[in-house]
Amino acid sequence: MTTRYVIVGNGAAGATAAQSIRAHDADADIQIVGAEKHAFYSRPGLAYYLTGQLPEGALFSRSDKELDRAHIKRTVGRVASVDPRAHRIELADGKAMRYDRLLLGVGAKAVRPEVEGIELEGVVTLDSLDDARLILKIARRSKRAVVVGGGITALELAEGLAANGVATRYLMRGDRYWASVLDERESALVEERLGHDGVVLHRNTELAQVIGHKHRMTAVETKDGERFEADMLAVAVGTQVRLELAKEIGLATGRGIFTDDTLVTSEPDIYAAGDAAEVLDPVTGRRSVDSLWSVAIAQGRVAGANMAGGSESCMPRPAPFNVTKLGGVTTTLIGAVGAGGRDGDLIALSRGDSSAWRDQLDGFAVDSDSGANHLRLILSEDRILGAVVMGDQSLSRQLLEVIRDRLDIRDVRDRLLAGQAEVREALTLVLDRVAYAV
Amino acid sequence: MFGIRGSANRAQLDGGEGPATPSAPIAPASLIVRDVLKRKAMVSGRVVADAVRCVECGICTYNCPLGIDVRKHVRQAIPISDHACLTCGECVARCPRGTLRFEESSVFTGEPGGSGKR
Repeated sequence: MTTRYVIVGNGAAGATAAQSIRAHDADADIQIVGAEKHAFYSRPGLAYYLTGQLPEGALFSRSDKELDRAHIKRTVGRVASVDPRAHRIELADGKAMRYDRLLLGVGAKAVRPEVEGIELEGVVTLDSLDDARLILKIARRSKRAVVVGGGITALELAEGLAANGVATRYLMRGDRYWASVLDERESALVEERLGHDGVVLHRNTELAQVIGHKHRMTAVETKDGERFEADMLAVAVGTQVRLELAKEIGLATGRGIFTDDTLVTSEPDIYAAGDAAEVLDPVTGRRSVDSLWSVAIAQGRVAGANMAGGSESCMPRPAPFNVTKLGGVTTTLIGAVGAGGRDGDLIALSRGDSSAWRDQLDGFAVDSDSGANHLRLILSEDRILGAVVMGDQSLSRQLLEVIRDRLDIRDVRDRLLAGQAEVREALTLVLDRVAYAV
Repeated sequence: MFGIRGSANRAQLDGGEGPATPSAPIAPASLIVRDVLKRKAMVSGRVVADAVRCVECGICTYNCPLGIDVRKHVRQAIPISDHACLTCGECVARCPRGTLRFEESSVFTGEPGGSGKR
């Protein structure tokens, strides 16, 4: 008998799960339901669409034709309700679908700080292609903008607006950028580059209210009473999982939708993956949330396999990893890199972020710089726990392998402590030892 | 000497972002070495990808002067060994996430590559 699969959400986790199900079940009836009318596009790519490095059409990486070839159906609509007993969902337009297995890949959405005027026209967030279109539309008629928030998205917004010729101020609540993940030197590197791009930084400055005329914003006011005239306010203070549906079904939730390591929720036959999932590690007993493309793809693959009858685990959790441009500097973050600072700019996890980066494992950091490049390694007695690589990326591939595979570094530890000049050879030694042992 | 297991990186070949090690002023000899390496990579190299770094943004595909769908190759973990690829390095240089790199391939040993354009 044909098994019916319904996937809610056409993001990285949902689309990958659909293809994974097809790979495991040739006869499956697969249906993706998503609120966005667009075909699958690269959400991280929106940053380059904002800066003008990419036209909109280039963002669509998996066409509907590709879905057709795999006999995967896609419906545009909002899920209004789910009846887990009857295995049935109903869309807002009244259309109903039955499922044998359901995946919630519903993602997360940007939160807005609770200040007066935050709903005025001109206040924007960046979740989707439609958001990016709106930002560009408003930017075209804007002279001045203010950005508040932290993490990668705040930078993308500041750089995107500056690239469109909008005079941009970035208000930081603390005294430096992304203090919970980056150390002082790393924050300084990013801030320097932002200044180069024409973004004006304001430290220890907190948004108090948005001021407007009729429906449109005209200025922001800070807690110190300073007023900045602005046509736009871009907000990136963090994201929260879209939990409405999970709560309506009665699933166990926390920051995200609780799942075990096979991505099953508290309800059999309902799975969750990607930004929406808060996954339990059965060994450590800890739950984690990520907002990372690579994690969403990996979880989509596992969820799809398991929905089709498999029993794969997405644990042990691979070292969370992201590579991105921070203020124009290519930066790779791997594993536990938490710098221990408090980040007042983010009230929740931001996009491109992992809760594991904030982990303060029992290690200590070794910093080294050469020119515009920067490397920070977090070492324990026998392992590299995390790394931040800024600028030249030729070490990051090796580091990812050594951290992800938890390789023993005891015999090269002294060389890792000696700084960048010795790191490459030390890593090569560790990797070669493993390669020869196989 | 550089790269990992025989791979060469465009940024290093071009002196783009510079080597990771503290660098002395570049001597003419090393410039020649770089040029030779660059040409060698263009002749005998192919573009390979680290799919885990890719976020499917499409900058590679958009900038390919020959219109090769580089992103699709990456997603399917296939080297860009399309016979039409010039190994010009546009995609390698422009990828904002360091997904792509040159890797030496031995064209004379008949090493299997990808099956071309998809």
